[in-house]
Amino acid sequence: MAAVTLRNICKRYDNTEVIKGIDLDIHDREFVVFVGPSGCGKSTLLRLIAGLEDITSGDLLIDGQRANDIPASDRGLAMVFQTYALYPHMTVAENMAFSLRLAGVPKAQRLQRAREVARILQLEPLLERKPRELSGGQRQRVAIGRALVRSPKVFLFDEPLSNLDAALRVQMRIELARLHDTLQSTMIYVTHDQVEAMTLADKIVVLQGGVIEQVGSPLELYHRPRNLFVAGFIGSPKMNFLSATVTGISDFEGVTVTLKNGVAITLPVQAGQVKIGDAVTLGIRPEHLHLVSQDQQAENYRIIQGEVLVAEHLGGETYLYLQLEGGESLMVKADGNNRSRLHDRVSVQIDRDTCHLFNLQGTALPPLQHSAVPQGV
Amino acid sequence: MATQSNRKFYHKLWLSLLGWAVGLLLFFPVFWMFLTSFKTEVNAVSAVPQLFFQPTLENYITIQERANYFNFAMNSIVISVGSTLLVLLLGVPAAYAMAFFPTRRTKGTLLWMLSTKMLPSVGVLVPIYILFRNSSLLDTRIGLILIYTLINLPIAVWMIYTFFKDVPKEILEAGRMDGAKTRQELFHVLLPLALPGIASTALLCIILAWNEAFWSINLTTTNATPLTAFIASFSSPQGLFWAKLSAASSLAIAPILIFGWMSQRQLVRGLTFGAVK
Repeated sequence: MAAVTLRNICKRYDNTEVIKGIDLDIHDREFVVFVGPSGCGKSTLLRLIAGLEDITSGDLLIDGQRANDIPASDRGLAMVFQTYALYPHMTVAENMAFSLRLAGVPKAQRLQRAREVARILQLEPLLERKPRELSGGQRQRVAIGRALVRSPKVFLFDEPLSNLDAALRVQMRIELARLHDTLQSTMIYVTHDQVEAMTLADKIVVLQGGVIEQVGSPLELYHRPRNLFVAGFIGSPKMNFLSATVTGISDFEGVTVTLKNGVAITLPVQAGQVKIGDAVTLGIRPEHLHLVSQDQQAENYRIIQGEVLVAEHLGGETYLYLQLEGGESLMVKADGNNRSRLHDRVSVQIDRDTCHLFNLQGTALPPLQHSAVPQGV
Repeated sequence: MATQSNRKFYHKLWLSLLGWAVGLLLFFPVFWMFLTSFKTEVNAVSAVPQLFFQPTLENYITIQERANYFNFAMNSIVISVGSTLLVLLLGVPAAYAMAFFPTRRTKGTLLWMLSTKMLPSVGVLVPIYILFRNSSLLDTRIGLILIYTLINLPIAVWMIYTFFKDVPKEILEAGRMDGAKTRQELFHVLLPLALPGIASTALLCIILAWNEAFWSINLTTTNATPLTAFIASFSSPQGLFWAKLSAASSLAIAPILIFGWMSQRQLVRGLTFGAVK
C-alpha cells in the first residue's frame, strides 16, 4: 500500500519530449487509470513509475520517498504486462514464486504462497504447467498472480486485457475490480479502452501528447469534460460535435448560439472571453438526444430535424445517424423499439442542460454560477 | 494434375540427387584419407587408386612410436575448451550490453568486430609473434587460448547478440520488476532462455579452435602443440608419407568429427537461427 506522487515529470528521448511535465497525486488504495490514444505517453509514464525508463527531470515520490534513482528491482512495485511476459522455462508455480526466490524465501514457504494466490485466481490445477500449455486468459491470470505473490506497494498494469477476446476481457475486468476491492491496494492501470477506464477507475487521467488533459472521477469526466479532446474521448458512443456561432450573451441566461441549420439555443454557460460572432463547438452526447414528434416542444428544449442515413438496430438500443439540414451529421441513441428507417425525417429534442460548449481553442465554457446572479433579480 | 505431381516428384528427385552429390563430394576426401591410413606407403601412392587392399595398422603403430598422440590431443582439448570458456565469459556480457542497452554506435561496433575476421592472419603474424615472445607466451597453452579467444570472440558476440535479441524485452523487465538484479536477471532469466543458442555458439567455437592451424603451427614448438601441429609434423622434408599423414589426420579429426556428429542438430539449429523463423 502506498501513495505515488509525480512532480513535473519529464521524459525526453534524444530531442523528442514524450512526457511534458506531469503533476499527479495517486492516493493510497486508489485505482487510477491512465487513458488516451496510442502514442499519448501513458505507457511511458507507467514505465517511468516502474523504473523501467529513466526520468529525465522532475520527482517521483513513492510513499513520500524520492524514487527517481531507485532501480526497478528495489522499488517494491509489481507490473502486469500486455504480453504477459511469463518466464517460458518455468512452471506456473515457479513463475509466481520467482520474486520470492530472488528474495531468498525458503522453497516450502514460497510454494505455499504461490498456492494461496493460485487459489484466489483459480489456477490451482495449472501450477505444474509451463506457460506455453496455457490459454491467453490463463496466462494473464498467472501474470496477475505473479504480481499478487509479492504483495507489492503498488500494482502497475500495462494494457493487461488488450490481448484477450471480448468476452474474456469483460470477465477479467470484473475480476480485476473484485481484486481491487479485496486487496485494497494502490493500482495504476494503463488502457486505451475508455470503457475499461470508466468501469474500473476511482480516478481517470486522460493523456494526450505527453500532457494531462484532465484528471477526475469517471462521472466527472463524463459530465464535465474540460475540453473537446476529453469530451470526445470519454463516453461511448462518442459525443456529437456541431459547429455554431455565438449570437447572444447574457449574464443571466448564458450564451446563445446558432447552428448551421439556423436553430438557436441558449446554453447556461459563462461566456468568459467568448464574444458575439465567435465560432464555437456545441457538444451533445447521443444518449442525451431524444426523438420527439414534430409538434412537441417544451421550455428548455430545442428541436432540430434531420434525415436518417443509417439505422443500427441492436435490440436493446438503436443508433441513428442523422444528416442535419446544415449538412452536419448527428448520432442519436434511441430505444430498442425504435422503428425508424433509412431516409425517414425525424425530430430530435436537445436538452440545453446536457449540452457542452467549447470555444475556438477547444476549452469548455464553465456552467453559470447562479450565485453570481445579482440579488433581487 | 498428374503432370504437376510428376513435376513435383522430379523436382524433389533432382534436389535429392544434388544434395547427395554435394554431400559425397565433401565427404569423399575424408573417406579417402581414412582409407589411405590403412594402406602401406606403397599402396598409398600407387598410380591406380586402390579401393580394395589388405588393410594394415602399421601406420598407426608407427606414428604412435614417433609422437605421443595423447599429448597433442590433450593440448587440443585444453586449448579449444579453454578458449571457448573464455570467449563465453567475455562474449555473453558484451552481447548482453549490445542487445539490451544499445547506443547509436552498437551496430557499427558489431560490424567493426566482424570486419576483424576479414584481416588475413599472416598480416599480424610478426607483431603477434614478437608480443608473444616478449611476454613468454610462445609455445604455451595460455598463449593459444588467448589467440583463439581473440579470433572467435567477434563471431561469438555476433551470434549471442542475435540470440539475445530474440528474447522478448518484457520478460527481462518482468524479472526486474520481480526484484532481479542484473546478475540474477542474467543467470535466472536470460541465460536459460538463450541456452540453446549459447550451446551452439560454444560448439562452433570449439570446432573452429580445434581446426585452426596457422597460429598453432607458428606459435608452438613442443609443449603446447595441438593436433593440427601434430599433422603438420608428418609432412617432413624427406617428402610426404601419405599413409602416415592420413593416419595422423584421421586421429586428429576423429574426436571433433564424433563431437560434431553428436551435436549436429544443435549446431544446425544455432547456425540457421534467425534465418528460418
